[in-house]
Amino acid sequence: MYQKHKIIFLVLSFFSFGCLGYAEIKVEATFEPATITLSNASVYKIVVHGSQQGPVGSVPHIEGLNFASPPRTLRSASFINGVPSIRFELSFTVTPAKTGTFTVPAWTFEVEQKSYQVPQTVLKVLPPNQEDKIRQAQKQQQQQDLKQVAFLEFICPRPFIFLGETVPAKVSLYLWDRLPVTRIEQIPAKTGFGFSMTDLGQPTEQRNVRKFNKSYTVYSWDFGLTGALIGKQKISFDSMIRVRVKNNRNSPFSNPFFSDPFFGFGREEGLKVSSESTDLEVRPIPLENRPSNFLGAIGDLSISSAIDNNRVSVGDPVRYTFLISGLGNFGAMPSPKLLLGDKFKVGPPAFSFEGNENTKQQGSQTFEFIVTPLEAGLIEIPPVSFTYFNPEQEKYYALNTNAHSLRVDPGEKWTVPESNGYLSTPEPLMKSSQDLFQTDSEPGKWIDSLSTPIPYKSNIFWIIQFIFFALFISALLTRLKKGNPRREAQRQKERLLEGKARDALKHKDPSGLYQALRRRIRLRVGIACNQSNASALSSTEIITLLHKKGYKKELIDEVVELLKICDESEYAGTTNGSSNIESTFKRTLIILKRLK
Amino acid sequence: MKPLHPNILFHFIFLVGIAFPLLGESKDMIFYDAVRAEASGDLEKAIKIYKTLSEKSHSASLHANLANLFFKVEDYAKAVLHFRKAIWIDPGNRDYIANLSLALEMSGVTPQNLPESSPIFSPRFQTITLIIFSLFAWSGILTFTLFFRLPIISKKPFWIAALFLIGSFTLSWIFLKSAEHTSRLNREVIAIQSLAQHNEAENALALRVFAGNGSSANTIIPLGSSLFLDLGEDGLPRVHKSPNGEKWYLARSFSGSDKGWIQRNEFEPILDLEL
Repeated sequence: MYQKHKIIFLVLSFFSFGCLGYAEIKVEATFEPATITLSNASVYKIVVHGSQQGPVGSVPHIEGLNFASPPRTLRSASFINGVPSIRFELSFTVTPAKTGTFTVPAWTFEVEQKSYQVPQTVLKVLPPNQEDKIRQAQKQQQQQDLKQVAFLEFICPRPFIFLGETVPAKVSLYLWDRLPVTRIEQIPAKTGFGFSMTDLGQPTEQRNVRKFNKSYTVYSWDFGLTGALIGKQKISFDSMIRVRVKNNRNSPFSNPFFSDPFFGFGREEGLKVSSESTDLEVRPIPLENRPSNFLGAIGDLSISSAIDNNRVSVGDPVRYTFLISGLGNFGAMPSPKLLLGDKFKVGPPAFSFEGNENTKQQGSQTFEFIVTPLEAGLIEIPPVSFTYFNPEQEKYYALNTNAHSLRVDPGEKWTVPESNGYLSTPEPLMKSSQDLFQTDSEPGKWIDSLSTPIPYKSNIFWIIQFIFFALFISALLTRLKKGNPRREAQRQKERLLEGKARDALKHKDPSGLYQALRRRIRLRVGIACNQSNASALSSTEIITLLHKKGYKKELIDEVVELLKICDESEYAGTTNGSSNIESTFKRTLIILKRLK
Repeated sequence: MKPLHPNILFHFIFLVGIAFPLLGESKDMIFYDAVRAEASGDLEKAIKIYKTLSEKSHSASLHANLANLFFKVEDYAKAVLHFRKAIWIDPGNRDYIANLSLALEMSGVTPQNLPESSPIFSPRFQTITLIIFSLFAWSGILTFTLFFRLPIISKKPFWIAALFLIGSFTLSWIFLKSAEHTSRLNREVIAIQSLAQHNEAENALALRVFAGNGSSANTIIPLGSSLFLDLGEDGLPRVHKSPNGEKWYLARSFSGSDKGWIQRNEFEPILDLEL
């Protein structure tokens, strides 16, 4: 019996699930619930009957509705009244941004490589009711409470500062005593481009500070705030702390704070702490009555100067210390300009600050210059003037240092030594200062190593080699390309005949000359008229070829005359004077040039 | 195109605009520290700072100031060494040359102990000479390739060829002489101190017969003199390592008449050499 039922069940199952593959796909879409108030959420559910494959497509964007992504999915298979059924569900949580009736139009997606249409669906969003309003108010209160758990407070002594002025400011991190803070992950960082600030050092800690009816531990950082951009600027601070929270995935920052307190064991989470944004005005420094030597010092300042030695030799460096002390923008204060005239050479200063390192607003700034006397005698380092702007009184003040007397002994003199190995330098010599062993107060150009140049490592050398090698190869290829052996042989013959003619002219041998000239004319006519056997051409044949080639009659007449002279000389023994043979030679050269 | 993240841009600007110049400035700052130390009369500290700096980088002013300081503390041999370095960097500075002359005089170095130097054979012109020579040689090769054909009947090409050959020989001779000077400069060291057990003369360096502390002096030369290290078959200075790890080099004077072994700590090369 059992065996029989088993067989029937297997047969039915085979047919049922066999049929599933051929089931018709049907798509449904609904909002659950279809009507909500503004403070509630609905679920947009798409059900695909007849397939368990995830559809491919995207939900249309509806203004005023926010579809949470990714959706929840559910695959199911069941027998309903003996009929097998499979389906795939997609559920999007939808939160409305405004009231009204929202229609999600029909849209298509692909399942098993076929397109299906999702039917149109409507969601009605009603205005919030009294219960919603109470819930919203509670939520706001909770958020406010959460803000009071940890916050930053920024304190600036004045509602405005001048451009470039440094004021002592403070930022404090308030942490509620019941908040299980494990550590401060990031110290407060400034947001806002209108200011620059000094680095935050170690904070001062204060316990049991009462605020908002709560007890706090307060960490405070003092720093110097300097105005960088003129105008009304916003400034705020952000920090990160780590707090321990209960090991509950639904906690605590998205949920009401007090219903899910932080206490107890659990995981750590980062909490961003921010300050309120503060408006602070950065004012420009007044242009009126601004001294020409004002370099940007702002504060309430005093100055002094000193030298470390009042008797030196020419060229020996003297240390000149310029001290500015009081309250001011020491972090941004430029060095004063030492205008000491031609008697001194002044090197760049070294800076040092002593005072409140956190704010760099109170203390003293030292500028140390190396001053080198350039001439001997009792000379004076003149007073140095310094101008600053007092932001409290909004006035400029000018101060002067005292003059310093300096006795400068002459340096050792030298005479140009006799030329030796080192004096024979290839470069033009610079003017000597005539004083030995002067200390150079400037380092000059730095080089990494003292070594002789390696010529084969010169880029210029290799570029030249490359260019010339390329030119040489090009020239060689051109020569090979043009190198026609027949023409080359003819050219060689021409050169030989020219040599013979010149020799004959030199030895005043008319017959040899004319013979060479006639053979050269023949050869040239042969080349010009493309005749391979030029040496066998008779005078008549030469004339005929020139006519055929289309040379001018004048040229042909001249060739005829020349050939006649040559023939007469060779066969009739007629000779001309030495002056004549020379002119004939020159004439022949001209004719040959034209016979190309 | 995706715009650069402001942080990346900031770091780039910082690196290019601030960090790189600062690398150069740090050397300047150390230099100024040395000048200040000298100004305050602390010559030893100034020397120490300059020497530390000179191990990493060089400038004419640095070596000249260091030489001045050595002169002031009466270490004339080291003054000579650093003036030579300063002159190598800035050969046209007459002050350095004059100071060197005085330092040599104070060291007791006579001119015959000094190498001669002709500007035309200066090692710094070696590259230029080679470039001129290669230009000349290539010009000749190209001229003959393009304009002359065999057989040559006219005498003109022979003259040109002769001139070309003379020019080539002259330039190659200058180049070889310059290479010789370069090689010599690369072997040149200055005697700075004597570690001999039995110093036969004050302010003099003993060139030993054998590479060992117990060896007697072959000859002595004043400190501050130029010596030239002998090269081995591998082209590197001939060196002998004693059992206690001391390195000994065979050196000779410019004339070649004085020759002997010296310890590594007794000399310093003018240029950067790996010894």
